[in-house]
Amino acid sequence: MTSTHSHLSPEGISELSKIVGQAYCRTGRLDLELYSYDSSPFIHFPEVLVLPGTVEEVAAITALCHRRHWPLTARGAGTSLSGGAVSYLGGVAMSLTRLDRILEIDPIEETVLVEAGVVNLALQNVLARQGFMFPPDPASQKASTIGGNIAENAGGIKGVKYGITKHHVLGLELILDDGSTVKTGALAQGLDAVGPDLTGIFMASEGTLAMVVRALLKITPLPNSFRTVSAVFDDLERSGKAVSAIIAAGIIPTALEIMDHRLIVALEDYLHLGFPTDAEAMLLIELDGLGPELDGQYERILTLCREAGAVSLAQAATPEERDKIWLARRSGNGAMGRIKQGCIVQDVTVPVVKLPSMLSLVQKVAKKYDVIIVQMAHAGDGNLHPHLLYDLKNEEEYKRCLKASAEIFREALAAGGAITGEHGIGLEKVEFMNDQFNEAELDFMGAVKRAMDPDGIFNPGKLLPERWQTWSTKSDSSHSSDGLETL
Amino acid sequence: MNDYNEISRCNRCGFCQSVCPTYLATRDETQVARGRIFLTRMLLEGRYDFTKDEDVLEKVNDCLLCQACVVNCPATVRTDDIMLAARRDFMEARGLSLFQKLVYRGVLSHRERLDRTSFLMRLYEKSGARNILYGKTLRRALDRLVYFDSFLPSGLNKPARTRLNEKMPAVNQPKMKVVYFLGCASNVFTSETVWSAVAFLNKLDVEVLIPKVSCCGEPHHTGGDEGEARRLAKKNVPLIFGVEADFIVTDCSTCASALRHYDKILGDCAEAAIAKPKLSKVIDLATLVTEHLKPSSIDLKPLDIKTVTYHDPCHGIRGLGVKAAPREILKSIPGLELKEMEGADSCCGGAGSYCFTHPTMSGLISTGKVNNIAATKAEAVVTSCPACSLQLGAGLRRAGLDTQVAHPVALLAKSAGLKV
Repeated sequence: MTSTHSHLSPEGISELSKIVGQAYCRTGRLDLELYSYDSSPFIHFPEVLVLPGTVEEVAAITALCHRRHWPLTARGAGTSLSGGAVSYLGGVAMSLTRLDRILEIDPIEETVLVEAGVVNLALQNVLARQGFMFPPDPASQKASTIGGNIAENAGGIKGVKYGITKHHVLGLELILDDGSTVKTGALAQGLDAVGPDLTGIFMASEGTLAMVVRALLKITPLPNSFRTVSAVFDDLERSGKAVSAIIAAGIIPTALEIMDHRLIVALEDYLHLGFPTDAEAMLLIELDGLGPELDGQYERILTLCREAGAVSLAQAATPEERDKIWLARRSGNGAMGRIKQGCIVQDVTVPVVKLPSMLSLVQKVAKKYDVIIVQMAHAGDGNLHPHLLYDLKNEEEYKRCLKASAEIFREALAAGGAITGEHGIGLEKVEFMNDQFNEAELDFMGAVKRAMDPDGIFNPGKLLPERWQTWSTKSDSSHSSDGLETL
Repeated sequence: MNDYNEISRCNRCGFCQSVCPTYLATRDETQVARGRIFLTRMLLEGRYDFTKDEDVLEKVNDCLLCQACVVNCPATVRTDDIMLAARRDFMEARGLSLFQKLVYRGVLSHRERLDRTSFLMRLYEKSGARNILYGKTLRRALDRLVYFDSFLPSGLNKPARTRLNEKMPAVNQPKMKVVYFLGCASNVFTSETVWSAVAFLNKLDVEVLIPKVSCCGEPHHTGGDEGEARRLAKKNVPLIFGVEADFIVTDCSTCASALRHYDKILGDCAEAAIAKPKLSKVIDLATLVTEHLKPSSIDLKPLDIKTVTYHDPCHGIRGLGVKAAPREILKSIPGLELKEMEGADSCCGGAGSYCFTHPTMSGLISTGKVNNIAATKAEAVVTSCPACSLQLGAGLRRAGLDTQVAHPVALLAKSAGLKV
């Protein structure tokens, strides 16, 4: 804690207004209200909202915030599940959604240069016309931006085979705290990397180190064949055992997704796909590649599922059917609204061998605290997504969810896993950072933060516990209920 | 009043950002379904006040009610119904807006007054008054007027009703009897479509009844003026549901969708009892043609245009679930190629009178739509809604494009050699 922040004065706001223009610098109460939230339960109001339209404007805003000691929280689509996009200490909320240009696709080097506000799915659609994809495909891809994907190091359904965001970012263009611009990785030095991989430290940095304004991404040719299988189980743990068996057999499917009973019912209610609503669990498996090489793997997977106790197996017959299955899976989070309005989404990871026991452990935690926990998982890389549901007006139920949540974090750590796989620390998991990392590791992260952002202007309050923040956090306690959805 | 539990089923996943036309045009969270839902929730939580907070009403009125978010919402949160309920609450607390008083209650509620506006518009055009607008000096000063002027097609015909009798003659031994619901905008702005449609139905031995109906009530309904919408609906029920007919057909997707859902507007009353059993007989013109008539008996000739693209009206694709019928019609015309545009089912920004109440936003959305149309290089854009036709025509004119705008059945009638 080395610095204290300032509140915005009318003169300060007029300076911001000069940078972006009046229409894109707003202090209206509804503008602030509608930029106070993301997809998490956290709600914090900014003091001013800016929507820059160019990289130069971002640089000027950042320099001004630095000079004036204002907190600066960047956001894209505002779909963070951990509170990453809300303005915890007020200050300036900067929406990067207008930076939405796809600048250059290079099919020879297999790269694409994009601005931070490009929507993941919009990029996929443009790339697909040229026969390519950007493999990271978080379930939020309809809305979430590349900038947000980098800030949270988003994974996705294809993560098990293709890796997550950090595996596909070749270089970044960054605005540093003083407003200067630097490039890293392949954007600085071409595709042959020289020197340390500085791009890496910005993956999952949650906007706390610098502003990512452009990114050079690695793109991948679209596979030409798919096999999509849905396996039905009468027990959640058995579906997890099938996953471990498939991975142990040396098969790397594109996707291995587990959905539990309640999720199957909610999604069937939404899309009417003919999902078995009496099933305890479903495992969705996808293989991609060249047609002939898939057949052998496909047969092997069917056998492994049967051995693990699958009660039925079905293959998607048409590309449309396949699209619908994945649309269903991606809609899981939003579909929770069909069950209860309030939702805490976890994304703990465990080693794949521990997945079956972790799935049933979460079920036990739900029973113990008497809360509804809906489970889905990017099972192939051991990334669980327990959704803890509560009624917005039931504070007591919410508190039980928090207790259950804490127990799941502890169990994941005990199993040799991590408290987050892709949703980020944000505000939600700050208090568990001390369990995830030891002093020395946190000191090291704090040193990086101090080097990059000594005055703590970038997204203060997120990612690091208070002791390692470079800015003093709010005095009136960081997790008071005024920062949460109405209870 | 909205139901708090229903509203808060939105857990802000943000999927509506990918389809909400006002968001796609602005990339601004204050212009997306998720934000509107959040504000409505804050209204119910008492943070804002229906009687005072005009800024909240503005945001509620910014919604096009296009339903794109509804069909893309994993929790199927009915943003359209939620916005309607909020508008009703605002209306009850604050009364009608000037626009609603003048245009909805003042004109649309009265059939004769609507016909008179057609006369005034034609006078404005034919007298040369419109040309003054395009003088160089005035143009800049009158930007808004030029915008409104762009909606008026050149060579506007007389209202459709002036050439139609209540019962069209010359159908011997009719195979089918339909009630043709002549909507306000079709009557005034696209009368050629109505004439073509009626002539075409007659040619297929369909007897067409054209009762003197009032406005379907949808503009009033979407503006929160529930009482007036109900009054109009009650007037219409005996005229359209009280007569023996195989179908109630209309060339306007909005009217068709409104009539199909009249039970919602009518509530509990004697008229509701008459209408309810017959609501499923309400059908849009294109579906009537493809599913219930056999136009294959008619000799179709190539048109003077070779390529068309189709724009799905919101009330067609989401209100009625119509997707294939108009396309089938276009594909049946010899020598005509249908080129699908990107985002064919996204709202054109017309949204009834939204194009007049929200010129800036509507213009932004229109530009995107016009670009998608232009990218197909089609010679005509075809749609099944007079309000969409107006909006598309205006956008194309402003962009300096001469792409035609037509109704699928009007093209079919032309291909069948019918002249209007």
